[in-house]
Amino acid sequence: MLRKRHPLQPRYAPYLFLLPNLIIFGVFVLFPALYNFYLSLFRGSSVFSMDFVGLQNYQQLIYQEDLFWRAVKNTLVFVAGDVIATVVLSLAIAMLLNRPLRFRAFFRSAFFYPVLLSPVVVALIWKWILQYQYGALNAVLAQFGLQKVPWLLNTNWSMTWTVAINIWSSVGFYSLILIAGLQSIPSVLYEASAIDGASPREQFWNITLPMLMPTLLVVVILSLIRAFQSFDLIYVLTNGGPGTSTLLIVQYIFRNAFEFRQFGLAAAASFLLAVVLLILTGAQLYLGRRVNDAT
Amino acid sequence: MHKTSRLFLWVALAALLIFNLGASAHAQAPVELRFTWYNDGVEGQVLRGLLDQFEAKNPDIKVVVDTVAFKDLHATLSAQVEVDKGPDLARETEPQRYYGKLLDLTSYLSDPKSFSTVYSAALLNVLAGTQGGITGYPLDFTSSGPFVNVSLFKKANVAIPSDTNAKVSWTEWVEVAKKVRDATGVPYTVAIDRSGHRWFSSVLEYGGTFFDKDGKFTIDTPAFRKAAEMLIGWHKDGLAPLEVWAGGGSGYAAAADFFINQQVPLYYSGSWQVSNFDKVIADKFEWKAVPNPCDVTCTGMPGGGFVIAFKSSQHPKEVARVIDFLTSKDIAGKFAVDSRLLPARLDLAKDGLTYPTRATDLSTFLKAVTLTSDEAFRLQNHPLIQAVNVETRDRLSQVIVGEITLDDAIKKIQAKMDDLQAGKK
Amino acid sequence: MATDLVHSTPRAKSRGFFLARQGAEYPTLSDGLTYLSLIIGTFIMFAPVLWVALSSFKTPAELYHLPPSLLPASLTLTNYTEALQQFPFLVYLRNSIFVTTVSTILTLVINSMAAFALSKYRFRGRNALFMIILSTLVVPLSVIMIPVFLVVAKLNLTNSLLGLIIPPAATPTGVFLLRQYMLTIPDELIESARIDGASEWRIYWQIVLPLAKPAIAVLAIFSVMWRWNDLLWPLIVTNRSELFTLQIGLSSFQGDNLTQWQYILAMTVLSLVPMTAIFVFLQKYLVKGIATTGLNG
Repeated sequence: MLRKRHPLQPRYAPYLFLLPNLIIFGVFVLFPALYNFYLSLFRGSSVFSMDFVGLQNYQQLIYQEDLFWRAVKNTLVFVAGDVIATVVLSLAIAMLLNRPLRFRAFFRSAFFYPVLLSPVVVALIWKWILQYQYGALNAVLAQFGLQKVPWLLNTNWSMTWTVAINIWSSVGFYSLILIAGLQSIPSVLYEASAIDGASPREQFWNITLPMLMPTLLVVVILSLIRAFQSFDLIYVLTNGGPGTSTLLIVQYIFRNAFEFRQFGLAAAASFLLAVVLLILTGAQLYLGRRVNDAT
Repeated sequence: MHKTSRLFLWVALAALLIFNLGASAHAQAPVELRFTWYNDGVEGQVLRGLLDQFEAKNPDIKVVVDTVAFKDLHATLSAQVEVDKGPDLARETEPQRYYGKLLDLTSYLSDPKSFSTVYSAALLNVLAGTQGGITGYPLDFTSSGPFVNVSLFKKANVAIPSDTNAKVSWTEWVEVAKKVRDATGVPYTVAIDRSGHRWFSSVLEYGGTFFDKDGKFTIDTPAFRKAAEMLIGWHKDGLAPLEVWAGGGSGYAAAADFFINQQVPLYYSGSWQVSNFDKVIADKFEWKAVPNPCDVTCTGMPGGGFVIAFKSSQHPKEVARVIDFLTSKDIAGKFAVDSRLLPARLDLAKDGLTYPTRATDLSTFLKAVTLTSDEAFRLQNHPLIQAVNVETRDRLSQVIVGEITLDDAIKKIQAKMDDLQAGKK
Repeated sequence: MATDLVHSTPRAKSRGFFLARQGAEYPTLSDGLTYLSLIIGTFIMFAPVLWVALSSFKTPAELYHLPPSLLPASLTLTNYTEALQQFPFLVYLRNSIFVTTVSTILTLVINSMAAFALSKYRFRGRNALFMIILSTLVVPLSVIMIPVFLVVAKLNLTNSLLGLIIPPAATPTGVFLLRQYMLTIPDELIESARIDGASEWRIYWQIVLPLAKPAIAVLAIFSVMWRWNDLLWPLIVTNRSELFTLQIGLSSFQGDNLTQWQYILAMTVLSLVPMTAIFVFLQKYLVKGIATTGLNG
């Protein structure tokens, strides 16, 4: 059969395939991101009548805004707690769910259910349960003769619960990814090491963990991005409180833009956030490449 | 994949078509005005009823009311109005946010001159702001003020001090409320909305002022400290529910919930709660509004809604006709009566309205309006009221949960206001 | 990639790890502990939702009664009927369904096309483009919302469902996930198709897409979740009630003056229904889709 000339030549094809995504991406992501930097050099309460102030917004953020730094600190605590706990818990759940069990399919989907719920709904559900006076959790504590705890009203507890609830709503998803990773580890490796007399613990450290590294990295990246972007859950659950104990960067930006109409200041804060995120992802990808090369 | 994706595409196309048909059907309809609204109580239903009357008489105009939550109102409206995509009309508490974007109705209204006689000059000023003209009308008038749970007072056999004494201080109020709490076993003594606005009234009652002689915000005054220490003390001593002020925004419980559920005998809020309580509490217990506490002054914080029109509207004439209708004396009166709100029209306030229920409570608030101090009006009508409100609320919350000291809070509120005023010039 | 090379049965492998020295034929202590922790885990996952569902039938008086009762005194629907009267649930539901469906289809099509180009062609600027896309992976929409909104306004997309649908469609996350998966599809398949005279579009549509099905399923779930759950973006793009989505409606029950928990609970349960239905009917595919994607970079 003679080879026809195709309407899509391989030379142009990739550009054509990329085009629709790039147009939307360029117009609604890339351009706004750059425009955002431009806005961060201005001050004023209306986007269309602002005065150029150079880097003054950045100066103010760094030297004057105590809430900015609080938000940075809270965000780091939230992200670190969230990512570490997510990795540990989802790995534990994945290993349990990877065992030969009755009702395994049921258990797997049970852990997945909260993943489907919207952050608003998740926040409302937990707010109802953690209520100080009439919450279910405090009712249970009271049954056992324990003191009621003002879970979401105490600065020591609020962040813990925010992280825990975030994990509750997402751990099932990451477990499934890890199950896939576990299943792709050749069973030959386990059989061989069993013959060599390796204990389960040794097998975990010497086979499971190294072989699972690429998948764990995906989990880390996805949960990290998700944690940095958390807004809706906290907006409804604590809205940054009590005090400012759960005020994250995204909340801080929203507050300055919409409550105080300091659009320039908000834009500067989001630009700084984006730079930090970029550095982090770059580092992870670099790390990931090294891990991939190593395995 | 193949089959399902094709199916999906068909569904999507069909849905698109339906939507487009819907849109073109709209185009032939009468002029459609969009009215963004928020609800405190039943006034949304009342407005709809009145607009139905209007549409029946004016078949060429249709008014669609879009209701959003009050907490979402500023986010959605500021963004939309900023780019001239806002609605034709909106109910707002702060017309200040939109100066330059508001529609001057003077040349469209049937009787623009009457506005200056039936509405207070101060409120018309808030509407006109830096751009001038008539940009809308004051919808209702509110005053902050306290409510008491009469049933709990009776049960505790404690007299309500304001029944016999016209001037009751905050200290006295809290003392008797404590007695009621101890006698009835309810968990709390006093609750106050988590709002700078509500709490400012106690600063004013202690004789506080908010501005220096150049009109700049001055936060650190003895009255400010006294009122702050009172509020912080309530929380430290467990007199007030922590859920309200420790929280952020609407992230926690509303103070009104504690009053409605009979957990607190004394609750500080404002006149807009009357219609709510009338409906939600009904006859579960006996309650009433009482005069504002008195110290140096007896003032509450004024407030109220405005209806504003936007310059971006394609139909200024129709907008003016709707406003003509809604501001006419009998319609404005009916709106106030049915919504259990205080009228913004001065002639209605002077004549007095007959409310079918809760008339005494509303007249208590009407009296409170007459006691409102000039400083209270000055603060409420300042362009930065929302900013000082939010900043004060959040900083005091930080003090209450122990993150910062009151001294820090005062310094930080001052710094924020200085920063914002420098930006405004 | 390991996923494609090794097809081990999970049973054999997990026995290798956990039960190296035990027979799996009869229950052992470690089995018992596994079941126990899984049952506790399942309880933690479902109990909060169940508690809310039970609470939603209680009267306000019951909601504020101490200690709270487990079951509502009577199964009345008052909370539901009263809450439904306060906003047009069906309109919001229709909008949510429409936005979610169309947006997901759009995302899948354009993301998979981009991922195909980035994973299966060598061309000038490929790495640069991929890095640019990656770099915005981490910039949340909520952070650049104001400029995005200004763009949307310029394009006259405010107050239209398209304004809700198009801007979030070009998700970098989607491109990233699909590209990683498509890298695992052997190039030989594509080469031989080309030799057989298949057009580039056919290679994409009939060879690569079907092979990438698991990854596409995962992205579909993601996208459905994202769009169904969006609150902030719809709030800012629309101010017309006929365009409101369910999340906006739900949010509107939390007043500054009043938290009407009885209505919030009822509406929460109602908004749970579609997702729970997806869960009940599609759980097998969802779980399998993610579990077989093997998103290992």
